[in-house]
Amino acid sequence: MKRCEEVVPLLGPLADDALSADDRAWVEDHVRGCPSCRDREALIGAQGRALREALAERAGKLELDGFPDRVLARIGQQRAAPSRLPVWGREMWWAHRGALISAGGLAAAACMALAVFLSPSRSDDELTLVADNSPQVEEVEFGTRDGAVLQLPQQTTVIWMSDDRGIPR
Amino acid sequence: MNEGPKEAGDDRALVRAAQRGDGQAFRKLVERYQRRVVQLALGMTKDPDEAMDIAQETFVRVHRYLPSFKGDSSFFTWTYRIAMNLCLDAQRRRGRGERVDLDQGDEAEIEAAMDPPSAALAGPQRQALNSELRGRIEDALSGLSENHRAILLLREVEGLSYEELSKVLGIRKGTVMSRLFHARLKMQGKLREYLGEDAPAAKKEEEGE
Repeated sequence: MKRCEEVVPLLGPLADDALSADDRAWVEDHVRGCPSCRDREALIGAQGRALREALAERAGKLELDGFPDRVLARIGQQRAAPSRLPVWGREMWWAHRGALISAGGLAAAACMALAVFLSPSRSDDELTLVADNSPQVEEVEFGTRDGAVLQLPQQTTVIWMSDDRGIPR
Repeated sequence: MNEGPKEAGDDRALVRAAQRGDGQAFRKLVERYQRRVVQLALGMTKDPDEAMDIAQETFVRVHRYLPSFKGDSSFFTWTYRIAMNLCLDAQRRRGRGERVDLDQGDEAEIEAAMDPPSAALAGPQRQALNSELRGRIEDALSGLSENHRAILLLREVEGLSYEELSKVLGIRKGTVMSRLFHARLKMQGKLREYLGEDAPAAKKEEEGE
């Protein structure tokens, strides 16, 4: 039977249904025979439930009638708000044109230097999410042990790399 | 969250209609996700007024960026990512944000948290965490770093899969796994601080058995 320190980091993924079938089988096998790990697993579930209930109770007290109207009104206000940028821009230009020309020159030089040293990379637009289904291996740390995580699109498998200290059963 | 195929299909149809300028379709999307977004913001900020403000701004941004939404991810994943970024920005502006506590805990805390759960947190009464613990859990949540708070809320409250967490938080799946592990340990540690072995409610339940 596997030892607790190998199982503990996988109790969360077990509760989250995120283990591969093989990992699930041996983790469940250990948990069946280990009261401490059963308690740990139950605690993960209980914490989650308590958090859900507490937040649902508080959020349930908030009045959401008219929420979409308030959102649409805000969108309308932002559309209607006149832009101060042209006036502000003109004032800035006449007041600081010398400094702005120098700063612009420096910025252009910096951009050209960056363009030389950096190769083209993926757009980092935070609002565009790109699906990445390629298998990946990542080293991770779970407090008691170091491991590598092999990630496939639908499952995650942990491969243990070190065994530095034990946990009381 | 793991929305069903019907809900995902509905979302896609509504998003397409909203992208064509259908105001009613956009309103339906807001109505569908308003409660969840407010709840997420409430968990992150703890302040109902601020949570409402962030939730409204989330949908304003959704509306603004909807034309560029390509559907590479699901609509709710995209929306949650916007909401989470706004929550983190708000906390940073107030100087309350603490993100250093990423994927590792301090040794002593990990050792303590990996002891078998205390009687107050486990044992026969674990299935029905009492109202005292429920009240304390929000305090425990707000005592976590914003990275840990974010991942716990998105997983435990919103039910996002590891794949979805990876997309919303912009981290790899292995990092999701280890951050969630440490966040749960930290939360357990905070609850131990609040309740300890002598939690009155836990004791009462023990005595009542």
